Amino acid sequence: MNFLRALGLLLLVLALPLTAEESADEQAGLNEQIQDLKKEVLDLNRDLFLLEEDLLFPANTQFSVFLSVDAGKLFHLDSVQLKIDDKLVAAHLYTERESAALVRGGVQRLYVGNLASGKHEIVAFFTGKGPNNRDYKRATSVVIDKTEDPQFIELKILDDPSKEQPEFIAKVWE
Amino acid sequence: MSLSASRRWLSALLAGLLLIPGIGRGEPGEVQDLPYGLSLYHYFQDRYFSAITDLMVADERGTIAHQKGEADLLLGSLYLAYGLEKASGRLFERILEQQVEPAVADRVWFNLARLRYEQGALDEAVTALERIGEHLPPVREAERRNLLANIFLKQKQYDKAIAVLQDFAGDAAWEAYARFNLGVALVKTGRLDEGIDQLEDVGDLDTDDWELLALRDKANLALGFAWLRADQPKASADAFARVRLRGPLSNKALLGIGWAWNRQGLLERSLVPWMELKVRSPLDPAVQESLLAIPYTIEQLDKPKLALVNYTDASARFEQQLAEIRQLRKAVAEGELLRALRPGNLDDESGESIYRATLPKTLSVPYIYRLMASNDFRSALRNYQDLNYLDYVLVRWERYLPVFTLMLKERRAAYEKKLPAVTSDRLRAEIADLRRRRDELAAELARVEEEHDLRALANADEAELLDTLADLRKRLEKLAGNPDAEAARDRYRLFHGILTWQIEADYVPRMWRLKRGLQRLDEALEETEAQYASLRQAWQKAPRTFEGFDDRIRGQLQRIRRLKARVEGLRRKQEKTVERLALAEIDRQEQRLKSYLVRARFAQARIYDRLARMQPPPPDVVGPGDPIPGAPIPSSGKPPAEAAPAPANGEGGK
Repeated sequence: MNFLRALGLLLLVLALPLTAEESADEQAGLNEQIQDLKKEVLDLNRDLFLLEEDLLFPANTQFSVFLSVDAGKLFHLDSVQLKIDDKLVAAHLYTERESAALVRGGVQRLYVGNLASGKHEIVAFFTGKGPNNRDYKRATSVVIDKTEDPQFIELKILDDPSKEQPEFIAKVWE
Repeated sequence: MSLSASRRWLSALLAGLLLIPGIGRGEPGEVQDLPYGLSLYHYFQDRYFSAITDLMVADERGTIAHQKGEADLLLGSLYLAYGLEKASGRLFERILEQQVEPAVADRVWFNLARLRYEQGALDEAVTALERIGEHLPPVREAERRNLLANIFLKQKQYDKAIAVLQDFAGDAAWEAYARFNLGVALVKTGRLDEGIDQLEDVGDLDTDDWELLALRDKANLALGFAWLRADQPKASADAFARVRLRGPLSNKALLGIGWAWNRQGLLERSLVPWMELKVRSPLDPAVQESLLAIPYTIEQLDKPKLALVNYTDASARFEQQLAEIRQLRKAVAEGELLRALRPGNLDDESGESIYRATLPKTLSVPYIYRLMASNDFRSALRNYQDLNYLDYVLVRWERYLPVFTLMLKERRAAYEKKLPAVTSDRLRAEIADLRRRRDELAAELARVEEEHDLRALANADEAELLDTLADLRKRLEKLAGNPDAEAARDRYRLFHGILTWQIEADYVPRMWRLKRGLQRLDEALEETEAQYASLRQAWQKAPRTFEGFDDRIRGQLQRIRRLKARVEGLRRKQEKTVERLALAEIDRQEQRLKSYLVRARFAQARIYDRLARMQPPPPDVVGPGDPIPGAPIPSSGKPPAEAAPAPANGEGGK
């Protein structure tokens, strides 16, 4: 009995390398197929994004608002609200991960929509923790003259070391 | 001892970061193109799929004007992080074909080298590393030398590795890695004293940094086993003692220090670390070995009865573990594992939710965590998660596209409904009439000005008075030559003069007001004409907002369905891979446990045999301290094979 078990074990051990090799080849082939598929889905996703944008946000009315944080030592962003012509169009609560991504230099697309040509008032309200970890709420606004071209606004949260206060500005990208 | 695991981790951590200016120095580089910053935002959250899409869309739209080079490098790195090695390689090679600045070229060569290294193409990796000039930042240069040394260590070209690492200077972490690998290379070439000196330096690191602490533990563990193999148990025990008691390598160190003391003849002392191990998780091979090492040493202390008790206890624990493993295998085979590994959130792009998920009781959690620690399994799991996410993406788009079609239909209907009103001649005729009337007014104003027509500027009262005066004048003309009318003529002249003077005095403001009015009329008319033109133009362009989309949507829908079918097929195959790897790992653990169980039972049988042959046989039990002469020791004359101190393999890993 013991001999048979030992023999069985030996055969199993001898068989293992071959099986492992075969399955390694098979796995490599599968990985390759997954790799190709991922790239194809990415290509499709890009095309669908372009389609969606062309369809929902045509260039002549497209209007986007981005948000970035520079330094971020004097203000920790918790949430933001965005109003266009006094109408709330976007609100976002930030996770720790999102806040960290902003502090590291990422730029968030807060809003994309359509806006008719002409003047519009954009107001953003920021809440979070300011210097000394105190609750902090500030707003910034800008009046834009929407043209027939896509328009982009960047809301920037900066540190003003001279005043030891955060600074909130809205930049219109040309 | 290999550094592969931790270096792989470090390498993964650094993947991509290499390419971003300022990242890692605490000062994010300034974003000059919003789409580039948007991609970074997703990348920093490990959302590679989104980050790649951002850059692909931006590339298609041409919206990255200032940081195209950075964006391409980031994209290549994202491809690599997302497991698209072919796309990454192609992109890096394409960048190098262009005329890029030496600093950019160096970074691309570096990433290409890393890619080839990951792919196991070591010679190609070396070639790429050798193409790097002098423009890498110092921290990358340190990584370059370590990567090169690791390749040489893998290729067993120890002299070359030594040459690369000798006189290494860099930041503390890289220097420690370099010293460790240099120590390993020196040991491998037989320069033991020099090698051990290097390892001792790492083993004595004074640091709070967790990564360096882990490296220090590895160095001390390597040293401990090396000294043990060189039959220097005292030095070995000193090295093992420097490993942190609660670190990830503490179990191996406790096992090692036990053997180091055992070899010095400090048998009872050697039981202390093993007793500590005994109460730790029995899934760890070091803990399992300690279960055999304890009775083995007790037997050396000539206490066979106590040894027997401990062997019996070890057998029971191995059997219990085997029972758990069998239950685990059953659960895995029944699909329990795959069900547990399905993402909690369908849109979980980073795959994190799996690691936060609560596993069902049937999946013996510690075993699964051990499984998840293996690179092969993690890689297979990552692919499985990616396929799940791809499926989510495709399903989402498949659901959106009919909405787009409906929207287009509504848009087209609205257009066709309003088209006649916009294109009719009525509006145009009304505007033309307004323009004609404006022109008449402008001409009249010009005439008034040219003729200095005061009457035209009179207000209603003044006009009435002027009419009255004109009537009076006519009547006075009829009375021409009548002296009685002279007084009336004087009064007429007076009144006419006063009235004319009044209007004349107000001529300039009145003309200004009229001109201003005309100007306003012009402005209003121009705006109306512009709005009309814009309206016509918008309606002429309107078909563009729905024409052509139908074909695009149809085409994309077909692509979605084709890809969905492929995702489903590959997902099933990948599920089998995940299960196969899980079962293989379970088998490995089972085999090891069975092997330990056999040894424990063999030892039990041997001790029974020894006790039975003793004269006179002990009544029931032999006291713990009673000597049992002639008891056999393990046939090899060594500690139980698995428990024997493992040689320090000293291979430098990645």
